Amino acid sequence: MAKRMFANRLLSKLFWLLLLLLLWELISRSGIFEPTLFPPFSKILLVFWQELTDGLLLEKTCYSLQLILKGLFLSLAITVVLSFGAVSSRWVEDLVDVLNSILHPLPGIALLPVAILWFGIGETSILFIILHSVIWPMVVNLKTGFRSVPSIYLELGRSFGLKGIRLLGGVILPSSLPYFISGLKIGWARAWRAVIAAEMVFGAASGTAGGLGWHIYMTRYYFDIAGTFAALLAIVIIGILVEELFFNILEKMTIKKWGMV
Amino acid sequence: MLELQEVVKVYLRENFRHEVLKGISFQVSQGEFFCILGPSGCGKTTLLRMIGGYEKVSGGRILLQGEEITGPGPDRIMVFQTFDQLFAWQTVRGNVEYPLKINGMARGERRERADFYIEMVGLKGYENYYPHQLSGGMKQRAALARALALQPQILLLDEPFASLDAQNREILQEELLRIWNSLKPTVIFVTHAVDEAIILADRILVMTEDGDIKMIVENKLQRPRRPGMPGFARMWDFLYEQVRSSRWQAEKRKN
Repeated sequence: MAKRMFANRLLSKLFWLLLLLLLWELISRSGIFEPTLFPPFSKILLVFWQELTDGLLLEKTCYSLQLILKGLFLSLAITVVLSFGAVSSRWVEDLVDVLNSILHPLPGIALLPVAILWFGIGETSILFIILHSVIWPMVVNLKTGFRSVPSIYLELGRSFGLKGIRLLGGVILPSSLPYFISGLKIGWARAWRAVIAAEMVFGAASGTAGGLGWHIYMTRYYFDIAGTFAALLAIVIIGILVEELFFNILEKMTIKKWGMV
Repeated sequence: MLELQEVVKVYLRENFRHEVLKGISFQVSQGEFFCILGPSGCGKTTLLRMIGGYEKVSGGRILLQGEEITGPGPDRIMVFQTFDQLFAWQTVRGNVEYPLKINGMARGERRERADFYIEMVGLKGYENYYPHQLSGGMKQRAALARALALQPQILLLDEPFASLDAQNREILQEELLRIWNSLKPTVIFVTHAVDEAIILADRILVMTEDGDIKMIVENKLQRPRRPGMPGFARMWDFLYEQVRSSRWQAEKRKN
């Protein structure tokens, strides 16, 4: 019963999706708007397919993704240290709170000019923006997670002989995994947006090919509007893949399997 | 082997000095089943937690094999009342093996030992279940297996069966006695249930409502003990009277 309903919902969503795309195609072909500015969806798909098969889109995407992975990995390490410090010591917590209050409301992209001045035009600046965008929301999540660890778990851990960093890795981190994952989700979304935005300002200037953001910027520059939309399509698809597929699988393999949610 | 000397516990709350335990002294010998019986709020759990090393004594000393207890350690393992004491991210076997792994036991040996104790508590076949797939009674069995596997000098049981229904409680009391009979660990068992204390313990420490020892009763009833057996009812009446007179006082003190 539930399964059939799910299938029905999926079908109705698919129906809406196809209808919207059809509408797009018809409006574009009707010539109400300038066709170069509003290319039909079929053309966007064609360009998308071409750029996918000749490797261009994949190359741009991989470049952006590797930046994000580097950024997320670094952010995770810093987040764990900051959060653990904050729940272990009042002093550190006050510091983290102050930093968080100042920096959390500051959009990463607003820091880009400063980053360029400090680190130059290149990867380091983008990494800096990613770190800034990701760390603060993740710290808030992980701090809550660490606080939610049942005191019994900590006492048992200490009875078994765990202390400090081993207690963190053996008990505290796994026990706060649900918060960790939801923090990671926010972190991913923030990083993805930060990278695309930062790459639009520069990208190829770093001497490499540049990522998706830069690609969007360049296709607009060369008036390849279908190409611009193809890149946007790539961004949407990756977003869906990561959020629906990667995180779903991750949760099924961990916190859902362990009954922690 | 466990000796408490004039143990005092004081909490300070806003200029208010609250003496939870006032000068507790007793000894528990190797292999003994020792019950601490008292109304809720009398400080019996605090006492157990101090033996476990989770709380510091405000005065007096607690000695294990002649050495003073300063903190938690694998020689004293506690089993709690709550069903949520197993690590949710580990299977039954994982939970039992994990403390052994921490204490440096080799893979094969700890697997063997874990399976031995899992079978002993009757969970054979459930080794690969995660805690959320188990019933309350099975979770308490697994927690007991985890504690036993470490082969601690003392098992500290803090009303481990109090959240179970009557039938499961009886079953687990029997199982615990069977295990105690075959391994003869030293057990300190905290409870507020008079019948549970009589069925399980060699000696029963009755606490007053204000954190003192009322008496320590030797329980000489023949094992296995059933509520219908001669002498049980008399003992029950006697202990119940001791606890009852404290109970209302304790309840008043709490509020």
